[in-house]
Amino acid sequence: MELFGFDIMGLFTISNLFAILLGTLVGMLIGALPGLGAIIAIVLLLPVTYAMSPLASILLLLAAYQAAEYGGSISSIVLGIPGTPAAAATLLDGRTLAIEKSPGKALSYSLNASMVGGIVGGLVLIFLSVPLTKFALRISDPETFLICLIGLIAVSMLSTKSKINSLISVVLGLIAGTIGMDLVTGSQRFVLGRVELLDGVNMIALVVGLFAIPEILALISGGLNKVNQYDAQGLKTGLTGKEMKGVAKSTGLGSLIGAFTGIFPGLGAGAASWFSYMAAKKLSKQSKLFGKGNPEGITAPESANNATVGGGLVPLLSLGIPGTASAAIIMGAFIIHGIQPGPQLFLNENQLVQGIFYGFLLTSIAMFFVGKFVTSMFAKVLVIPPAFLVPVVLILSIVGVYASKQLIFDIWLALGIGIVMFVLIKLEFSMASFILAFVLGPIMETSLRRTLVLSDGSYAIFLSRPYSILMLVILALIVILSILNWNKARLVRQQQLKDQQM
Amino acid sequence: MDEKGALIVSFKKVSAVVYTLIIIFAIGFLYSINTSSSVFVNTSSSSVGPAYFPNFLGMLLIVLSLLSLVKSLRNSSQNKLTIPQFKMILFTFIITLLFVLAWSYLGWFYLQCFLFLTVLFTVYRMASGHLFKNTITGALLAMVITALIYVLFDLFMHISF
Repeated sequence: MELFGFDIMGLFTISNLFAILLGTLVGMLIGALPGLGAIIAIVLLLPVTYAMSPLASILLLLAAYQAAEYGGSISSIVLGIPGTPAAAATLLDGRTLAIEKSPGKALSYSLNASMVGGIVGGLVLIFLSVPLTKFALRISDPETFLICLIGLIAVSMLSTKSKINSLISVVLGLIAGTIGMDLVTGSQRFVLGRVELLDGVNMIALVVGLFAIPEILALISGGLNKVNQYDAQGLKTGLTGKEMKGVAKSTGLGSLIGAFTGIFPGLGAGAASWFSYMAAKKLSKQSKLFGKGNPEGITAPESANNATVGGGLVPLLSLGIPGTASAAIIMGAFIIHGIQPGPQLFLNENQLVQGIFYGFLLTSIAMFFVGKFVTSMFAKVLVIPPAFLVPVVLILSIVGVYASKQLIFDIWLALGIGIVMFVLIKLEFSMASFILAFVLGPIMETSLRRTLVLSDGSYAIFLSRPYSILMLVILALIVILSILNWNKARLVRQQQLKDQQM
Repeated sequence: MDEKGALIVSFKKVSAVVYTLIIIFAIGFLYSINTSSSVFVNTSSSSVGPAYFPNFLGMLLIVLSLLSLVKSLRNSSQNKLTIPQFKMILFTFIITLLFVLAWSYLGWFYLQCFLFLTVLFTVYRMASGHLFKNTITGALLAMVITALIYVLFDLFMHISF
């Protein structure tokens, strides 16, 4: 059966369906555990992708990403502990509804909204990627360099953490991306005499070091025998038609806001959830009930955070530029299989792209059905203390790193990076900026070098092309707005200090 | 370190040390890039050889870190950086190092993995008392997880450790 030139039945192979099911289960489970989230789910599953076909690999990670976004709401609603910034918005009404009515009802609103958000995100991905790819095919190296630069600057400037430390994280990520053999000249750069570094820093070792190890150490820091309490009653999920109709507007609104927010680098699920929550509150007929268990306060952020997944894939697939840390790690899975995301992907691997499009919609549907069956069961794992979780996540991280290239060196690398990052996170460095810079670094360098070779070393070439001038204007606007915001925040802080001293 | 095993240090001092280390790293990076034995680095015919981008990044890193260093030294805040359960973090780090060392030099991955997990499960639950019960539970859990790793990685993915 063909759909827009794609054999849809090719999607329903055992390996693809198994990948979606496995990704959904693992993503939902890890997303439900407080302290862990979508990134850890993707990091732990990344080594498994070596043994899979490219399509099954990507679907595995996308299913985990989607399911973890929904899973985050389980701990928010059942325990009142938001595992992620996105789930923090859900907590306001989700927890109240869980206490006053039933956790199952609140979880049902979250699950339904997550599925709708996922599907809307998928549709935005399908309908926006092709026009964006056509645009991408018209641009050349100077614009590619500037798009990457805009992405990195936007991520740094939108960081809620220290902006300068976020910029340092970007530079460190770019430096990590230069390590290895230069593809143009074959010269070795910063390999320190290690043959293991000739192919560059192992992506899996890096993401485990950046995300999994610091998360493990943070779990230990938070107390190993901390036991969460929850009410095991009323976890059964299900909504009536009337209840679904009542939240249709907020779900639709959240889905659209989420999908379009996801397209912009650096914003991600956290920002989308809060934007949607505020918008739904403003447009609701029952805005006074927000914060008091209004179901619209659950569906708006939950549909939004799932919709960002599809939206976030738009720049990744069509421009080859990931907008979030999770998308950057998924880009790693493409690279592992020797595939470079970007406009050429649509020309050279069209069946893979179509498979991702329709498979993505399938991951949302799978999340809904799996969620219906396992949500109450997964809610029970919330009481597992970190003393049991930490050894499991640690050994899976170590084994996963080894499995990628069978090198003990990579384990040392991951552990070293993990320890350093644990300290850097405490000092408000940004790991998302680091990983985005790492994956964008080689693209940026190649496009910059090609540009400067064309212009004989002159940067004036950036001012001689309409698209690159437009991008420079966008870049300048981002920087100016960020400086203004930063200055405003500084003045507010100074005023607060003065008020405290008086 | 306080009596609960938390490490408490001055935020300002840690920041200063970290920025200084980043500057040293950047200098080392620049030195390595520009003295690499690879002949292409500095003798590229165009001005945009393989050292061009790394040189720019190294210098940018020094400038940003210097700015941050000055900012942190001028900061009069007395904020503290606290790492709770530091002793347990240190224990985990050491036991992980021993596990990887033992695995790389002695082999016997599955036995080492089982022992590593048993030790972690037992020590992590030590505060709750019941040492014997915790050790047995830990060993059983370690056995299950080791078996799962064998099935997933060895049988399905054909990766031998």
